Amino acid sequence: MNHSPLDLSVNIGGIQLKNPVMTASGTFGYGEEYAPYVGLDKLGAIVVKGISLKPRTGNPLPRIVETTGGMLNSIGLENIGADRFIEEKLPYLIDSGATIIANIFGSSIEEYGDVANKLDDIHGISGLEINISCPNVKEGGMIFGTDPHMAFEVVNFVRQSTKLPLIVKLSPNVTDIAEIARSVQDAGADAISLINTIRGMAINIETKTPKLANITGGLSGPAIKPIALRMVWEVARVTEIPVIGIGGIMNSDDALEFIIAGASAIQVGTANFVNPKATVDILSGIEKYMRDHRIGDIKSLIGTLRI
Amino acid sequence: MYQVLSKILFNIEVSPTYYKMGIDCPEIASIAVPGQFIMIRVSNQLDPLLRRPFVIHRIQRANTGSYSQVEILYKIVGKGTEIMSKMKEYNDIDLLGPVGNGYRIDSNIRTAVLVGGGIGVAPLLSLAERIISQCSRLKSLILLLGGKGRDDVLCVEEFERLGVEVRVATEDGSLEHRGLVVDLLLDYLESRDYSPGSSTHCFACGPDTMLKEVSKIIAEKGISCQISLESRMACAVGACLGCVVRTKAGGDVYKKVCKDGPVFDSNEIIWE
Ligand SMILES: Cc1cc2nc3c(=O)[nH]c(=O)nc-3n(C[C@H](O)[C@H](O)[C@H](O)COP(=O)(O)OP(=O)(O)OC[C@H]3O[C@@H](n4cnc5c(N)ncnc54)[C@H](O)[C@@H]3O)c2cc1C
Ligand SMILES: Cc1cc2nc3c(=O)[nH]c(=O)nc-3n(C[C@H](O)[C@H](O)[C@H](O)COP(=O)(O)O)c2cc1C
Ligand code: FES
Repeated sequence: MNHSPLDLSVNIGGIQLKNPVMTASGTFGYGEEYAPYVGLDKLGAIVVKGISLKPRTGNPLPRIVETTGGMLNSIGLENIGADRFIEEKLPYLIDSGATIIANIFGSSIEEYGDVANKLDDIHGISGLEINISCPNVKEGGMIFGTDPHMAFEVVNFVRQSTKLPLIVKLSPNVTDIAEIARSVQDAGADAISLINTIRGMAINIETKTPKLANITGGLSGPAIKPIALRMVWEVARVTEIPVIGIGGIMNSDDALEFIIAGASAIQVGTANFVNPKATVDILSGIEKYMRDHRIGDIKSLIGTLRI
Repeated sequence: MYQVLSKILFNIEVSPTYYKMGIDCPEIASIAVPGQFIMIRVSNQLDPLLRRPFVIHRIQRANTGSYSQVEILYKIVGKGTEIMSKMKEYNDIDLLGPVGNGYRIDSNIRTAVLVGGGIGVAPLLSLAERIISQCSRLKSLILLLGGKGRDDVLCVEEFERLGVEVRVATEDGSLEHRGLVVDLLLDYLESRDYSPGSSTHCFACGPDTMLKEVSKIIAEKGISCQISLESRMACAVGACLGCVVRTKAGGDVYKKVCKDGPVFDSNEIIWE
C-alpha cells in the first residue's frame, strides 16, 4: 500500500479547490442544511442555490415528481434574493470554512450584471457560477443558454461586472453543446460547468394531467448520466478552460468517469437527496481509487480517456 | 437529525394494504416528538430513487426505559410502499430522521379533539400518548376517525386502550356513522361535550380535502387547530424547495413542509 499523501487539489479558472468534489446548485441549499451530515470544509466547494437580484417565489405545486432512475423538478428558481443571501446565509458558510461559489441568474442581461456586481466585493465568495441554462424560467434563462450569440453577450457583460472567477453553467437542451462552450470561452469564462437538467415531463394516465403543475420540468439523477458524460467529453475536447462535470453522479465510479472524460472537478446534485453523505462518500471513493491505481495527483487523471 | 441503518423489528399487515413496521433506532426514538417523520430509503438500487416520508406512529420505550423504537403505519400506494411491505424482520433499513417540527402540545389543554382521515390516523397515536402524559388538566380526549370503509379505519383498539373516546365515520357505512369525518366534527361542536375556549385544541391529519374542510369549520369556532400536511419531497432537509406550501406568513409566502412543518396552524395555510 502506498501511504504517501494524495494530491486532490485542482484549480478551476483561478479558484483553488482542496479536491474536485463540489455540490450542485439547488440541491444543497446554502450548505447549512447538510451540515449535520457533511463537514462543509471537507468539500472542494459549495455551490449555493441560484441567486437573483430580487427574491423569487417560484412555481406552483407539485414541483417534483420521481421518474425511473431520476426526478423532474420545476422549482422555478425560488430564492431569497442577493441581499438576504449576503445577510442571512453567507456568514454561516464563511464560518464553516467552506469554499463558496455563488450561483447566479437573471431575467435580463442587465440583471445578470447587477447580481454579479453586487456579489463582486463581498468577502467570502470565491467565484461565480452563471446559470444560463435553467429550463423553468420563461423570461430568458433558456434563451441565453441555447443561443451561442446570446450566451456570448451575457457572459461578456457579466465578465465586465465582476473580478471574480466566472464559471458558466451550460444547458444540455441544445443541438451543439461544443459551439455554446466555445462562445462562452471566447466571452471570457474562466471555466465551464455542465450539465443542468434536461427538459422532460410525466403524465398521470388516470387524470390525463401532467404530474408537474408547470407541465414540464428538468430531469436530474442517474437517468441523465450518459448524456451528461457525452457532453462533458465533447466540451472538454474543444475548450482550453477547465470543465466541471455534473449530471447523475451517485458514487465515486460515476465521478471518475467524468474526470477521465475531461472534467477537472465534478458536482453532486440529486444524489444528496438520496444519501446526504454522498459528497464525502464520493471523495473517499476517489481517494481509494487513487491509492489502488497508484495515482498520486488527481490532475494526472483528468482527460485520460483512451480512444 | 440522523442518518442511521436500523433493524426492522416487525412488519405486519394490520388491515388489507395497511402495514405497521417497528424499527429499532434509539438515535431517532430518543429525540423524536409526535408529528415528526422519517425518510426511508426503500431500495439501495437507483430505482425507486428518492426516500419516502412516513410520519412517526409511535415512539416506544425498550426494556431499559429510554425510547428506542419507532413505529410507522403505512398504506401500499405505489412501488416504494410495495417494496416496503415485503421487507423482513431483522433486515436493515436506511432512515433519516427525525424530520420536521412536530405538534406543539400546550400543557394546559383540557379538551383535545383529534381528527384523522384514513392513513392520517398515523401520527395521532403518539400524539394521544404525549397529550395524556403531559397535560395534567386533561378532561376529555376524543378521536374522530374517518375512512372509505371499515378496512380503512385503523388503530381503534389502541386508542381505546389509552382511554380515548373514538367516534367513527365510513363513506360506505360499513362501520358506525355513514358519511365523512367532518360530519362527526360538526356534530361534536354542536353537542354538549364541546366546551369553547382556549383550553380546547384540535389536531388533524388526513387528505387535503379533509384538512381544508376541518380548517374552515374550526376557524368559525375560533379554537386552535394544528394540521399535519403532506407534500412531494426530495431532500427533507430544506434544500430543494420541492415541498413548499403557500402560507399567510408575511402576506403570501411559501414555507417548507419538511422543515417549517409538517405541522402548521390551520389558519396559516392558503388553500388552493
Ligand atoms: C410528511 C409526510 C408524512 C407521511 N406519512 C405517511 C404515513 O405515516 N403513512 C403512509 O402510508 N404515508 C405517509 N405519507 C405518504 C407517503 O410518503 C407516500 O404514500 C409514499 O411516499 C408513496 O410512495 P410509493 O413509492 O409507494 O408511491 P409512488 O406513487 O410510486 O411514489 C412516487 C413518488 O411520489 C411521492 N408520493 C406519492 N404519494 C405521496 C403522498 N401522498 N405524499 C407525499 N409524497 C407522495 C413518493 O414519495 C415518491 O417520491 C407521508 C407523506 C409525507 C409528506
Ligand atoms: C431541485 C433542484 C434544484 C435545482 N436548482 C438549480 C439552480 O438553482 N441553479 C442551477 O444552476 N441549477 C439547479 N439545479 C440543477 C443541478 O445543479 C444539476 O445541474 C442537475 O440537477 C444535474 O445534476 P444531478 O443529476 O447530479 O442532480 C437544480 C436541480 C434540482 C434537482
Ligand atoms: S423536501 Fe426538499 S425542501 Fe422540503
